[in-house]
Amino acid sequence: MSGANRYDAIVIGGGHNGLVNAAYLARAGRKVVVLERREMLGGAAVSEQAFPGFTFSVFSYVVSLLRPEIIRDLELPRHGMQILPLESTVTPLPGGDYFAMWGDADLTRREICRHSPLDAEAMTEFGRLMSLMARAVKPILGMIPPDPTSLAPSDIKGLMKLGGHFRSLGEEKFHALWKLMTMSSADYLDEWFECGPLKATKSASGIIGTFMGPRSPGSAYVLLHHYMGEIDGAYRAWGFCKGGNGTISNAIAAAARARGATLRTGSPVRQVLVKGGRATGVALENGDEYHAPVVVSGLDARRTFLDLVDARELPDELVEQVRRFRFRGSSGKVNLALSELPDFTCMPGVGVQHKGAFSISPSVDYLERAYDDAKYGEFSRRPYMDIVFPSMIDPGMAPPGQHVASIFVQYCPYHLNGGWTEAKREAFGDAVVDTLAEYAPNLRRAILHRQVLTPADIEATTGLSEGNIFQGELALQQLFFLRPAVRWAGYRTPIAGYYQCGSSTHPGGGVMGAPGKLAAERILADT
Amino acid sequence: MSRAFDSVVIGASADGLVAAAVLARAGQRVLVLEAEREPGGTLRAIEFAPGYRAAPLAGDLGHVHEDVLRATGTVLPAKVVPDDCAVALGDGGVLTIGRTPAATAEGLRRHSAKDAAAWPAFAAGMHAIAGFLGELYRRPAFALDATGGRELLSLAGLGMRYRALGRRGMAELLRTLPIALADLLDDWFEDVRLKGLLAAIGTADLPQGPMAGGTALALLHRQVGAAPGAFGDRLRLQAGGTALVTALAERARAGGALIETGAEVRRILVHDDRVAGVVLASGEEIACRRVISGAGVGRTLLELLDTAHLDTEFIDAVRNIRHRGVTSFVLLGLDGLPAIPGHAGPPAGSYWIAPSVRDVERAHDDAKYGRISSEPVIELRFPSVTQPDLAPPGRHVAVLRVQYTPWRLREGDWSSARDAMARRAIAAVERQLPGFTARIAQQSVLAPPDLEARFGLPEGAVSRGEVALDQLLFMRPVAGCGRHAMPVPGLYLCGAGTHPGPGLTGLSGLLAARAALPR
Amino acid sequence: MRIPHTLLTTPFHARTAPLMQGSNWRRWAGYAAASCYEFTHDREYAAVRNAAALFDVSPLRKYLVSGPDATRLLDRVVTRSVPKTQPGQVIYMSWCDARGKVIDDGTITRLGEQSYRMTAAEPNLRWLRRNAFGMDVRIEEVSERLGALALQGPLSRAVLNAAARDPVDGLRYFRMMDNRIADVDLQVSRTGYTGDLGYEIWVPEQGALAVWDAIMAAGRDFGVMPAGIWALDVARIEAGLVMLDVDYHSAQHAMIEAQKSTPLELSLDWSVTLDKAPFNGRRALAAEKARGPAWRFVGIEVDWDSLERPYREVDLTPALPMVAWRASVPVYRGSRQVGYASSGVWSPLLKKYLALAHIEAPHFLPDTPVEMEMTVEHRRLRASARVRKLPFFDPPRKKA
Repeated sequence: MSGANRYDAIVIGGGHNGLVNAAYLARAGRKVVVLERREMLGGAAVSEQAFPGFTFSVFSYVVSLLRPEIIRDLELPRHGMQILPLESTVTPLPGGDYFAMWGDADLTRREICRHSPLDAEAMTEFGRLMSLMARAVKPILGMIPPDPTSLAPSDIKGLMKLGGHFRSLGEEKFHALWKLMTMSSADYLDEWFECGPLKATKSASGIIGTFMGPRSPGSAYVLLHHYMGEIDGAYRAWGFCKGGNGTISNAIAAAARARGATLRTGSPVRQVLVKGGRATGVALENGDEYHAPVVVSGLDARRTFLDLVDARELPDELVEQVRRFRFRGSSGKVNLALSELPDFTCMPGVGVQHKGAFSISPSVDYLERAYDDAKYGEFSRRPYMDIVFPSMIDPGMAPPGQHVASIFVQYCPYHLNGGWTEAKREAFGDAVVDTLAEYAPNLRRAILHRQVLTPADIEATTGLSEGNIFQGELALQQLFFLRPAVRWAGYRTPIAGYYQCGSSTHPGGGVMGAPGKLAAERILADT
Repeated sequence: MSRAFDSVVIGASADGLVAAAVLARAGQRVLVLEAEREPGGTLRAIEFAPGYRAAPLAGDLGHVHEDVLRATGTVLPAKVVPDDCAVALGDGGVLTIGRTPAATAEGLRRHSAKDAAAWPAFAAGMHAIAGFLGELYRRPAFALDATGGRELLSLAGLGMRYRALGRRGMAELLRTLPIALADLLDDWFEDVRLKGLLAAIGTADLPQGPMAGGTALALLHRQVGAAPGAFGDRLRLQAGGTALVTALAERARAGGALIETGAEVRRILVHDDRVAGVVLASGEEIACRRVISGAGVGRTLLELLDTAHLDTEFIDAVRNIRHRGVTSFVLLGLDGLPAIPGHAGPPAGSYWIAPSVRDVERAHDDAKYGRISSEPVIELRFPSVTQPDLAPPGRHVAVLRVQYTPWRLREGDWSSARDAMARRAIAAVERQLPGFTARIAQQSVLAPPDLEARFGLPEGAVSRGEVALDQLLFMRPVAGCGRHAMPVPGLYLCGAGTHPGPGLTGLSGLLAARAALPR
Repeated sequence: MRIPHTLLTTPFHARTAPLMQGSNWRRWAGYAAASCYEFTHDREYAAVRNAAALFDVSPLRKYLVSGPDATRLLDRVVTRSVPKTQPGQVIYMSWCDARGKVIDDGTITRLGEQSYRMTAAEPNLRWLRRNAFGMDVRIEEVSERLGALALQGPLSRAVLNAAARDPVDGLRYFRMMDNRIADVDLQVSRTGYTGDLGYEIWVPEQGALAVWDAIMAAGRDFGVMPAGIWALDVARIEAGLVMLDVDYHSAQHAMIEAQKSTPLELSLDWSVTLDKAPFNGRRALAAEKARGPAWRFVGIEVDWDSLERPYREVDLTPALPMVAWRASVPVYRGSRQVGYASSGVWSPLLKKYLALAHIEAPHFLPDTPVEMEMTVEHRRLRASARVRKLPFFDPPRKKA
């Protein structure tokens, strides 16, 4: 084998976590190669001209949780990442009214007051509690999970550290955190608010990417995510990336390259080469081999453990856990090229509202009904939607005067009764357009092109198992030291030199980058 | 001169009687005040038609922990140990969860060889996790700032118990607590009816469907104290719940406690920021340093106590306790027992209509929107089979537990919905047991509002506070109050609304009494 | 539906807006409020101490609390005895959480046997509702419906006598009366936030403009001036009055414990009645009282020489804060930091640099020598100062 294909580390998958991982390894002086199956880098964080002149963040479409230390360490702004504000959320209501949350606290308070003066006050206190909780969670996000079943000193130390952290919070905050981690978002919000659309819009964030309804226990803690960005030096990290989310991937890729990493696209890995219980490299679909003492998989747990290696190399206990790890993609995406912006009945005309998000979440019951369809294997006839108009934030996304809309849709189950077909995909797209057209009647005539992506399409394009955007549901039993499996949540695998760095590992999905960084820390400490 | 005691126990429920017995045996002067004419609380039997009685909430007496028996010196009266714990009715013949894993596996073989093979491991795994829960439940709820030697020792003991589960067991515990019951069952089994039956047992009295997160916990909670694999059956006595109550009352009296029935407490008196006594409906004031109340969390704190003594944040927490009763009972006097197809012998177990997880979930969907299930989950028992004195000679009693029937109906109200609900439930039973309806001689319905009125269940919730991770252990009844002492010194709570929750009969009374005893 | 992408405006906005010479607006509780009407606030402040100044204080939160349990509710909430107040009486008080940390402060006016008006700096409807559990009481927010003016200064009585139907001569300090101005029925209370003779006028929204006009017209001969928050701030510091979000943080909004204060720490002991029925925070406050508070809210008076010297050294005359500052400035005693000042200003009346500060025990005793940090030409220095009992300025006319 030629020395050209010999590296210190091979990263499988050029998604954002793989790229972050490679960048950190390269920064530490390692010779790294990233092998990406597709012809473009970015995984699910890509920008593409799906239709001439119209650029889309095809899959993931906002920046929410990208770790600020990664932005700083990798100097991503210098490599082209620019985050633009995406501050407001407008929820159109069936009667022609709306519920809105703006970037400004006074405006938001005034708006909430219109629906419920009590809620306007509650929001201030709620925001404070969420900030406190976000701060309580932050150290956990940056921690390599210990093994809760181990007696090894390092694991015991990790568990003690965790226990010490909870103790340091004090009873009041610990109890508040416990409630947040275990309750349903609907119940949790019921303790605070009375306004239906407010509760629905907030609890919608608790169901994204999971196969749960807002009344299912365990959905509340995702409420935190909206508050995470503001506590750790990345004020207003919630936003839209100029040029779409592909720009983030490109910035990370540029940072990795600048630090010496090699990035190869069009290089699908067939399997990880294992010799004597040690990873020695990878073989590509075309038979090429790459060799390195460290192989890192940025793919999801199913692919990492069941596809890339022979299950016989792994303990049964792990294989069983990975088989039980739940993906169940629950969301789809509809991207529209528009000749004009949707004119919402509740807020006529074109205005500042189009620079923020629209949320189709009029009530908790609405979300539950959407979930009911999916529970029994159908896509939601009236789905929850989160809509943004990237061309209103970054005019370069569409030809002048024209626009793009990015619509996140839930629920859209991977396991559809009878399976996904062309016709069903179009029917799903129709349901989305029909629902939205009820709030913005000019929508249908404004549509120039439509791209509909079901979980099956997401899986086919990006390789995400069952189209789950988080590489596995973000549910309590799949978090922290349980993600993706007990004992193997610390980025290592039973195969020496083989590591995982995807969103299937702690702290999970969203364009956060933390798994890639933590895995790099683990690898650098190990080797 | 008014009377004075060391401790007053409100309510002669099983928990109250245990508390009274423990306090009395420790040398305290104890008075138990019961508003009803007889003790028993929720285990009480009521005469629902002339000559017919039933104790709807005592179908299963729960787990009476060894600690409770030892601390009170109680010997349990004769038990009923039916071969069948839970039986699923429906197409394809009965499917039975038996007393032993082997028996269940044997029966399952007809339905699924794979499930039959998986059953013993499932039963053992769940039993091990439930055993760990049981260890948590028999202790005062864990406190974050535990410092005292005894507490650290207790924590260390728990740590050992946890380790004893083994690597796999530990992993299973952590993974199972927050998971949806439907997911847990899918991990183990393929037979639709087996999963439906277990889903129904697990979600009994729970305002969630089996697809909701955290519902596996409810099944585990119910498994604490049960034999391995004996889902749906913990303790039954030949003489019913009354026998347990009588035994506990006898132990309390033997210790010197005074039990007065027909004595309703109206107010708890507070002087100088601590409990000073109680006021009865009769106007009598009784002085005491301590009150252990089994009268219910909300009733005790927000009604019997002047809320001026409580912090606003605490009042809010109490008001935020989720109850949401979803269970109704249809009590029937029968002129004879129905035949259970495919089932020999007298029907001594519990019989379930819950064809699949989807059916249970769909039944719940209705409740989610404030409607009564159009196809409810039904649990059917014939208590007179083992307790003939509940019915006139030759006659029988059937108790239908019907779920989901939400306490708060979004449209209409229970006064008009009650009968239709009962008709629907009886019709569902008739479809499974043809000829059942013809045997009905008497009928009485207890909808959630009736359960609230008759048994003091808040919102008609049999759970007296949903069984969920955020309402158990140190979060029950409210955050930081899992140790039974309330913010007003001298006031303690016991009962299912407190740690460790429903179905752990007597444990909260024991823990509350221990907390109340001067150190 | 129109998007209200603006701040709220008070009922007097149509009159106050045209008076703004420098467009010097600021936010106050979601409302647009004048910092000062003229280009500087000098004359507006002078009016407070010399003639009469008219402040639009409508952004204050106002609640009507009424019903059989109104007294019980308020007595549960606030630190002062509510049952002891007489109809027509106004009390100043604060209210606390369970740990005795102040949530907000304001006044309660007993309007009748079973009805009260409560003012607050921030929204408190939810807190009142939460406390009203199980009570027969109606809580109504009237913030937007009720305009509020503060007419403050030595000639305010004369102005009001000229404008109002009934003379206010007999109105005692912290009392309220029904009155009528420009055919508008309203209420006048002898209260204010300046530590001077002054009145507050509570006027229904629809009558607001007429009342404003009438007062301005009647006041012309007395030198009445509309005044903004800058002038108010100078006056309230001289009067030693604490301000929410400046001198302390609401227990419901503070992110950390150290940002919270008890009424005893704010030196509001006189407004805490421990021997009344149980109220929020009573247990904590009783314990704190027994222990002695760890902090006190006191005045700081900066020594002129030590202020002037560092400026002289760099050949400058002292730069004095004519507009009150709101910041957190360290206060030392010897080598040790013993507290922090939260607002300060040059008092044009007293000719002294004054600050309000939180000082730790035992350094909060009057006349304790301390040092306050200041910056002169990019150099951090410490100015000598002394702890002073509040208020700094307390003219007899305030209560006379």
